[in-house]
Amino acid sequence: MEEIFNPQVFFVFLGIPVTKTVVSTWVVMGFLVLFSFFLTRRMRPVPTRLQNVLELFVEAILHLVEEMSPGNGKRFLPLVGTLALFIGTSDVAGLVPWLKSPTSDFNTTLALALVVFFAVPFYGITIKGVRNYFRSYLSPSPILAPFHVISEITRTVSLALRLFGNIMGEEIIIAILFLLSPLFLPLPMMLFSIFTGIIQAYIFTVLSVVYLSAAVESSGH
Amino acid sequence: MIRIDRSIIFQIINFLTLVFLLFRFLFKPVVKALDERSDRIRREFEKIEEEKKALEEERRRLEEELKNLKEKYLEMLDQANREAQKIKESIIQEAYREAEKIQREYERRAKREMEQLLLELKEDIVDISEEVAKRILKVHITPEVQTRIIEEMLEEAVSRLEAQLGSTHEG
Amino acid sequence: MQGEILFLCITVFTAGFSIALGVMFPAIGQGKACSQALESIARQPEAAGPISRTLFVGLAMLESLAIYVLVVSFILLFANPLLRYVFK
Repeated sequence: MEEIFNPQVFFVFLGIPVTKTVVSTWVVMGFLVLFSFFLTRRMRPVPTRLQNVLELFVEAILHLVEEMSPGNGKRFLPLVGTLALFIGTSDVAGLVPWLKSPTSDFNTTLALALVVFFAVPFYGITIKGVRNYFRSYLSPSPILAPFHVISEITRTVSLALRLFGNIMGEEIIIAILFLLSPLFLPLPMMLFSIFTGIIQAYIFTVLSVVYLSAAVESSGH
Repeated sequence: MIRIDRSIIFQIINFLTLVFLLFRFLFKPVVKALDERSDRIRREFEKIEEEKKALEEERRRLEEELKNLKEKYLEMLDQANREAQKIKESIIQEAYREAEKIQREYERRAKREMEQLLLELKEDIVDISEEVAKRILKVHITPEVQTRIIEEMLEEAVSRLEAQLGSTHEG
Repeated sequence: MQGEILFLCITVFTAGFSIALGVMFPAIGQGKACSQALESIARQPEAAGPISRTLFVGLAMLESLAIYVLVVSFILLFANPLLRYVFK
């Protein structure tokens, strides 16, 4: 139980503790990179089954972005697609023995939310220009500018907390069930946690796309 | 438990690295493949469209040709009809003319035969009546009177005969 | 000692009760949202895609309220910052 709250520190690198979360993140990253590397090494015109899965995923992300912010599908694809893949894989990774879901650590989810937090002005400025982007803070009236800033901060925190709370809650419930009876009893909850994890990955992705497309939307002002 | 420590820096770096790596190994090739495929499909579509257009052109040309041929055919038919009409008319004319010629020939021949017959008959009648008259009037008739009587009788006979012949001929 | 035990009791009770309350109302809200979305989908099946996406986002917003409560009760239970002052 204790380990869920305070992940085990393996070693300290440059004064930064390398926790089990970070190691799990590396494992997930390595898995994703190797997986995609071997799958895309030889792209065929007529896709094989696994290549088809990849293409379906990429097309789903493109479709999702294009629906909310037409024309920006390819621009947002790396960030949004990586968010979806990484969060989805991390949520499920908690079921693998010796691994801890990187997303059940608030550091990870806050890191992801911060990346989205900084990606919003980055894309907004690159697409709309500095003046136009900061002018959108002044609409509908300059009095509301502080509220825009506050809403950006709170939505970032809520993005991080939502993902963290869901995954961590699942993990604690599984741990409690495991304490009650290590055999079979946690299984239904584990299955449910796969579902929850994928849903949470989807929600995080959709919300990121909503925030990003709100930032690059030019029809406003 | 919700402890933010410095490992968040690691996580941000990790995530940005992952974005870069996945962009390099996953999204770029997949998007390229998708683009290539849609490009190829579009090209194929364009080719098909072009072929369709060419076929349409060909069809229009053939239809035009068919129309021309039909017109020509109708014209030829018309001409043939007209020629046939002409030939028919000329044949009929010819036949009429022939028939007329034959008719005239027959008429002429009949007339000639009739005249000959008439002549013979006249001679016969003259002979007979001369004989009869000679016999009856052997005694007191001068040759002048005899000739006049004979001529009168002859004329009468001829006119009667002619009338008779005319009525039969007309009938 | 009496005061410390009382503090612990109140903390545990508050954590449990806050979870009860904090789950109840988001649950009502989520139920309403779900039923409305189902009704709309039943009335207009061709709009199922956008409706369900919006539903998911809305449910996530509602759920985050419950998650806040969960986090607060976790803090109360496992990482109470006031314990330091109570147990000097």
